[in-house]
Order: sequence, then structure tokens, then C-alpha cells
Amino acid sequence: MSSNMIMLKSSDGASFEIEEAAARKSKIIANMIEVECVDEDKAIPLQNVTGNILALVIEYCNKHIVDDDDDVATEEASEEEEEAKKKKVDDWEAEFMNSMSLETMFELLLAANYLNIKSLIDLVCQTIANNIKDKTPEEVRKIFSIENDFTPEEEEEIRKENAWAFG
Amino acid sequence: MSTMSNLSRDLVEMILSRLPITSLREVRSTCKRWNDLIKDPKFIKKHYGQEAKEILMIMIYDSRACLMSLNLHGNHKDLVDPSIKQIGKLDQVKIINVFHCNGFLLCVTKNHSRVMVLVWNPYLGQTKWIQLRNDYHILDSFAMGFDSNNNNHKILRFSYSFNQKYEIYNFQSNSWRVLDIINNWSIYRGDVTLKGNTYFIAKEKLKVEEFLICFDFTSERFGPFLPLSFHPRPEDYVLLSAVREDKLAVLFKKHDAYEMEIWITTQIEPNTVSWSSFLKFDVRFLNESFLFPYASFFVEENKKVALIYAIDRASGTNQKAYIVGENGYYREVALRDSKCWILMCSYVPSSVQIE
Repeated sequence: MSSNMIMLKSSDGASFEIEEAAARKSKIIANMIEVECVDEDKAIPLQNVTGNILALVIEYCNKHIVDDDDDVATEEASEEEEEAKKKKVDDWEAEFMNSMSLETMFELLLAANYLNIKSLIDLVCQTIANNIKDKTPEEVRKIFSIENDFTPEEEEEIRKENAWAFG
Repeated sequence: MSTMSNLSRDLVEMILSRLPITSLREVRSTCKRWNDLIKDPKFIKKHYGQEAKEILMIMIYDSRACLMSLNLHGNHKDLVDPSIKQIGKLDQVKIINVFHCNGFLLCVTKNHSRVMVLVWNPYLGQTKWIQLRNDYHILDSFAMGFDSNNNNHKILRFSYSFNQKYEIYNFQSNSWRVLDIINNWSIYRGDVTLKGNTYFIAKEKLKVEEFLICFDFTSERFGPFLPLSFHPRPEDYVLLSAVREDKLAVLFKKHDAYEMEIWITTQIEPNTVSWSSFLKFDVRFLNESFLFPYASFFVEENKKVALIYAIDRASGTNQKAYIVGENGYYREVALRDSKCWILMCSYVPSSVQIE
């Protein structure tokens, strides 16, 4: 595992130091490191990510830094160890997502998408989906600030179809 | 401030695709953008097609259809907690029998003593009641397919009795027509619809050998006898099953043998078929009473395993499900809520509208 440190700079000018291995969770940054020979003294500018969101991204990457380099080790780990480790990560992720507002989640999703961090995109999407599940359309519209753009006729049509959908 | 409306279509799709199928009613009612997305054929294909994480099946319990999910995590040597669980229900009508074609369920329903046929796309919530020409008989059966020229759906009605008569219902004309077909063979077991045509096991009258036969919904005729890769006799055990929506699997057990074999088609059309051996396994792990069960099976081709679902013929209620694989692998599958299910057919959601 490399312990090289690199600098990231958010759109609002905040600088963050991060281990290269953690930063490589982002396909975009990994690419920049490969192609552009990132200068150790110069921060990588991330124009679409604000400082508070970048801090969350870095927190996530640091927590998951071992995943990719761990393949050899995991083969030897016992099943219980594996499970315990997975549960620890799951608990951490639940806590991590639990602490943020929906607005932050959307920003984090946009950042994860921009930086191309697949596992973080999956985590945020699943958490937002969990917020939709088991809620009425009215509740969902309210939580997500969505306008009801159906005409009464269209609404009636959907109501009829939903009566024959999976319940 | 970021809201859902800031997200690209791809991201909204990623979020909505993580919802269970039963939440889609609410999702569709939320706004036009979400409704359109859920109905988009590309969305359905991507999340419920070849790459789907779970295998969906329709089972009947107490005359109600339920959507079941078979979860097979891991590989065949090390399946982690395989299970069948109910993920949705269709309890709008009482159902006697159900057939699957192209995301449509053809349901034989019963209201008091009146039998009606309902064609149903439960993913879209679309239905169409089909009036029968004459009274339903207990030996009657149905198959559904479509005309490859215009994708027009049709229903075949036939009987498991001798002197089979065939009627066809056309969705375009909304009417039944008697088919002028006289066969010296009869449909013996069936039926599975693949690519718009239905396959049956047929037997010539006064003979013992069985064949595969296809009803071609385009020409409205049966094709030639197609060979099976074994020689079943009436006392043997033969079952058909669809593999996703384009291959046919057949399960065979000789009445006096302990080996079951499963074959999958490498090519299948109304007038041609070729087979490849998929699995052979010893069934002595099954209790004696399960050896000739009322059963169904499913094949998970990529994992090289099959699900065998059996109801004890003696009691009619005792049921078991097993995953079987290569080299003698077998494992009982947890049937959540151990009720008496009847496994009916595999199910793949579709955005096809009922004509």
C-alpha cells in the first residue's frame, strides 16, 4: 500500500490532504494520477465539489482504503473474521449516512458520481431509496420537494392501474 | 440547494431501481418523470432482464397469486443461505391456474362458480377479461403466445382429454375461432411459452413414446414432432421449464431410476431443437414420497444449479425445495412461511401493453 499523500482542493478553496490509496477510490483522481503525473506540491482542483462534501467523501474513502488491497489477506481470513469485518463496515456506513440530511445526501451523490466512486454511489442511492420505501406519494413529494404534475385524469388512470399492480 | 430534480436521469434511475417491486405503485404516483421512468422498457430490461439479481416466480397459495423471489448468492459450491421469499402479492382475484408469456399472466380465475380468463400485466397494472365461448371444463387448459408478424397476442384453448379440439383467441378481433386441426396425437404434458410460441410434451395415440411439440402462434399450427434427448414413457417423469425467456429446460426421471437429468436447448424454434446436457444428479436424498411429486423446477444457467420444488403426492401439502448442482451437490432451500404453495411459472416483468 502506498503511503504517498496528495492534496485535493474543493470548489470553495479548501485544501485536504489524503493518502493516495484512499484518493484512488475515485476513478477520476486515479486517472489523473496515472495520466497527469500529479505534482506532489500542487493540489488537484475539484471544481464540482464543495469543502463540506469533499470532507465526507474523504472520510468515506479513508474508511474503505483497505478494500482493494485486501484480496490476498481475505482469502486466508476465516469466515467469522470476514463476517465481523463486513458487519463493522456496514455499521459504520449506516452511522455515516444516518448523520446527514437529505440535501447533503444529494450533494454527496452528485460528488460521488462526478468523482466516479462506485461503492459510494451505491451506498447513497440505497439510502435514498430506503427513504422512499413504504411512504405515500404525498410524503415522498414533500420530503423530496417534488411537484405533483399529474392532471386529475392522469391521476385517476394511474390509480386504476395501481389497483392491479403488485401489492 | 440540491434536490431530487438536480439529479440526472441515470442517478434517479439508480435510486428507483433499488426499490422493491411492490413500492413501484407509490413511485409511479409521485410525478410524471418517475412514472415514465418506471414504465420505460429500457429500465425494465436493465433491472429485471438478464442481469437481474433475483429470479422471480409466481406461486399460488390458497387461490391467490404471489410473487416470489429466489435468492442464490455465491456460487454453486458455496451458496449462501438460498431462500425463496414472498415479495409481492396479487390478491385481486381467485386464481385456479396461471400461465406466463412475455410479462403477461394468463390467469384462469374463479368467482363463485364462474370461471373467467384474465390477461394481466401486473408490472403495468393492466388487465383484460377474456370471455370464453363455452363453459370451462376441468380438463381445459390455455397457452398464450404472439404472432411474430405483428406482435399481436393470442390465446390457445385446448383440453387434456382425447379428441382434442383447439380454439384460438385473437386480441385484435377480440374473438375466439375454432381451429381446423385434427391430430393423431394429444398434448400430454405442458406447457411453456418461449419467444411467443408454446411447447408441449405430446404422445401419439396408442403409442408410448413422447415428443416435444410446438404450437406456432404465427401460423396457428403445430410444428413437427421434435426429439427429446431421452425416451420417456408415460410412467416416467418429464417436466418443462423456461430458462429466462429464450431457452427451454426439460427434467427427466425414469420411473424406476434414482437419477434425474436436466437438459437445456442450444437452439429452439417451432420446427427444430437441439439439446445440451445441463445436470445429472442422484435423487436419493429425497424422501420416497417425494420421488414422484407434483413438482416444478427452475434452472439458473450461470450458476450451474437447478431448483427442484416438490409437493408430496401422498399428503398433497408437505413440500420441499432443493437446489441441486454438479458433483452431487444438493441443499434444501428455506421456504419462508411454510405454507402450501403451488409453484406455477417463472416471471419476467415487461412493459408490453395489452392490446
